[in-house]
Amino acid sequence: MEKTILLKMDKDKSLKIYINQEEKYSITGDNRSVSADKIYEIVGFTIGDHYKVVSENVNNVDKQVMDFFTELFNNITEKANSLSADKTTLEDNLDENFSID
Amino acid sequence: MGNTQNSVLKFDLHIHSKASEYKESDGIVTQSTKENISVLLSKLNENKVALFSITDHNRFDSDLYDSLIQALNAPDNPYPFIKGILAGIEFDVKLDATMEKCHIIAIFNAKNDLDKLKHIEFVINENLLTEKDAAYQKDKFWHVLREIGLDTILIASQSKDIHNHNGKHNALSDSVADVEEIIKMGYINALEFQKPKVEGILINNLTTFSLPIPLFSGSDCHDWYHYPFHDAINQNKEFHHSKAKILPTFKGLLLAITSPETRFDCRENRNKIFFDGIYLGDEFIPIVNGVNAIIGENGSGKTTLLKLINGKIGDSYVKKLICDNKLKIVFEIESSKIKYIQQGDIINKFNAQSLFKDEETNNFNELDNSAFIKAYTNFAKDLKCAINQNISSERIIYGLSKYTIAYDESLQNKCYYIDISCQKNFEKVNNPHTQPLKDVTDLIAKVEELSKDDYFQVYGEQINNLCKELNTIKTFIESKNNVTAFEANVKNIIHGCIKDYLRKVKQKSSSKDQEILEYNSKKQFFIDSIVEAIKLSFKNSTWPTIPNILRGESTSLKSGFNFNREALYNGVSMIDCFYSKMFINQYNTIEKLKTINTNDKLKEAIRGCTSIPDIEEKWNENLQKFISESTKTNDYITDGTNQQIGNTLGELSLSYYKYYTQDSDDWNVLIVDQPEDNISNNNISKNLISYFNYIRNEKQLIFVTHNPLLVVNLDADNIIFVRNNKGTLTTEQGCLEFEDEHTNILEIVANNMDGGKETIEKRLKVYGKNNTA
Repeated sequence: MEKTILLKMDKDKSLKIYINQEEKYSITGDNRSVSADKIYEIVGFTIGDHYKVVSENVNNVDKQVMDFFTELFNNITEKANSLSADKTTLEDNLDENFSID
Repeated sequence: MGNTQNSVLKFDLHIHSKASEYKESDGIVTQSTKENISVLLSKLNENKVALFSITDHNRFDSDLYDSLIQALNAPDNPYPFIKGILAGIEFDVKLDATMEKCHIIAIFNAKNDLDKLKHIEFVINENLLTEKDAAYQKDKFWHVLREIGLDTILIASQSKDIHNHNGKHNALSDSVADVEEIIKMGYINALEFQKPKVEGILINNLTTFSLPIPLFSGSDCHDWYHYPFHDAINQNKEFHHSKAKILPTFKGLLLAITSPETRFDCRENRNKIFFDGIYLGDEFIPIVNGVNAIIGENGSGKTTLLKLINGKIGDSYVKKLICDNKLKIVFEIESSKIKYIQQGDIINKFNAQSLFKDEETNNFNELDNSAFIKAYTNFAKDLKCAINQNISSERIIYGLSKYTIAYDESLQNKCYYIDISCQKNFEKVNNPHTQPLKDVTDLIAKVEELSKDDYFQVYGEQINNLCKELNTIKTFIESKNNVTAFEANVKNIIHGCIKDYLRKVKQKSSSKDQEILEYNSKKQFFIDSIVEAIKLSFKNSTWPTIPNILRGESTSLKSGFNFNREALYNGVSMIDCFYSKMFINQYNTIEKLKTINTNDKLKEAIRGCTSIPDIEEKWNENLQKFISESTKTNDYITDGTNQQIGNTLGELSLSYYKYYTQDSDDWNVLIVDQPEDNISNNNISKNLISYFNYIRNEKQLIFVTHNPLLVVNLDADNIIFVRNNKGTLTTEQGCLEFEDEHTNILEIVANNMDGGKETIEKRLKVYGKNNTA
């Protein structure tokens, strides 16, 4: 499954994270922090999924912050995609009826 | 005549001649005269009778004997099968005045000496019975024998059950009330029967006897023209000659009587590969296909002869003796056909605990200790894990006091960059599916291996189904494992990327921001520590359960023995041993181990550990010692009834010989240097001799011995007496009864073996106290 991660910097300096156009998390300008657990949870990494990162900063707010954060997501998804590519072949072989807990 | 007993001879000690005529009114002995001895000798030769006696009713014809002896001594006599004649008489004796008479054959050791023969005749004529039905009273009979004055063997006729006392048959039981008693007293040396069915009855009668009593057949031939039958009319078609492995002499017969189990009913040796003999210069020393005993003083060269026979002539003193005496073996036998037990072999193997398990004969099965090793390795691992968890809990819970954080308003400001906190152990994901996946994969591999085994071919379908089921399970576990492994991988990636991110952020951040990040990081660590401490306070360490008692034993069955091997841990709990090897004495229960909550305490608890960095090494070292100790094996042997055979040197030596002699392997010659070593005389008599007897007709036995029991009681077929006079070897050789003008084997045994005389006397007691060989 294709998953698009949109990182959007709003004018009010809040940074929103969308997964397939659905807003999943918002990092406000007042408290610029997030945990590693949250990142894993937001993205919902699953075997076989393919991720694409898109960043949007129309107002060019805190460009450096946005660039670093986007680069982080690019790095993560690039590596996760390569993992998924390896696993896809294996999963294709699994019986469709098997449920994965 | 050879001087070793290497063949089985037929004999007949009950033949009449014309001298019996006074009791035989119908003329059946009329033609059994000196003039017709060629008739008798031809018939005996035809029947391959090697030893015989003319035993007339209460008469002795020395002329007839003289003629027979001369005929047999003639250099060109046409009777090659006939080897000897013994003087004898069939007496009518009334042993009990109130009962009937019986027939007793007396065989005399007259050594074919005409004077002795004439003396027998003289004594008989002096005490002659003239009436047909007359009999000697018991005292008179002993008087006659004493007057004759020769060594005598007495054979009583017994043509029916020994408990039948109805008279009419001239049987021993017609003349005495208790046949067993008179045999036990030594008056009678053997019983004579004529019909096979009577032999069966007598064997049955005598089964409870403690002493062996030989049973002879006698033809009772009266008319030589009809030998082996009684006469022209009375023909016992079932008659068969007795056979014995003896020299055809009185002494041969005497030794047969004193050891019927080794002399009667013998068969020819089935062994086809054996040593014939040794050359000592030009002299040939025969070695028989039976029991050969080499005797002599210490240093006489006995062992050298054994080594020569066995081809082990590497030692210089052996080489010299062989060379100086021109010793040579007739032909060599390949080593695989020989079993050679050197002097000291058994004690050396006993000390090395390698009896029964040398390279050639590894009778004990190897033990599979993997289950035990796995159980205790896992136990130790889980135990260490629990102790470490205890230590960690303690350290974390009581270490919280070291962690402080002061609230700083100025550091509550936002950062320019996004701060990403990464909880401790974020990337560590416990995958509970890894081990089950490995286990089920191993199981499938094992089942697939079994499916290729011939033994399991009959269960092919079931095994295939089992494989399918296991593969289904494996697929489920594998998918779960993949999901969890993927999660771990992704979290690891996220963790790594966050670290890169934070590094870059740090480089670009202002000093104030860096201070805020540091504060946040410290705060995160503080929170993590508290959370972890809370978790640990709620969680008890998981202490492993003590491993089950396991079996570690194997049994291998061979030649009637069970070769058992058992590990120390077999069937017993090893937990106390584990604690004592791993820890100092006070830590001998799980409860005690639960008190270890610091590395210092752990260091002190582990046996031999002196510093905290050594904990891991000492732990593993102690565990290995424990496993090594616990998997040590004890080997023991039981017999077929699972009765344990002792572990002393003597008991095991005896078992070693029993094992060898029951061994059905393809070998032919047993060579032993002093088999008596370490074995009591009682055990030699009761056991070792019977082991050797068991194989004497199937193998060739050659041994050196100083023990007369192995010569006299084993009834060696060939005794080789070796002398060494300043490096020059001489030998005398023959079976026990052999004697000529130079050599008398019984005398050699009596004079040259410790206890030899007593052993011979003890054997001859069976024959009668008043008789001497």
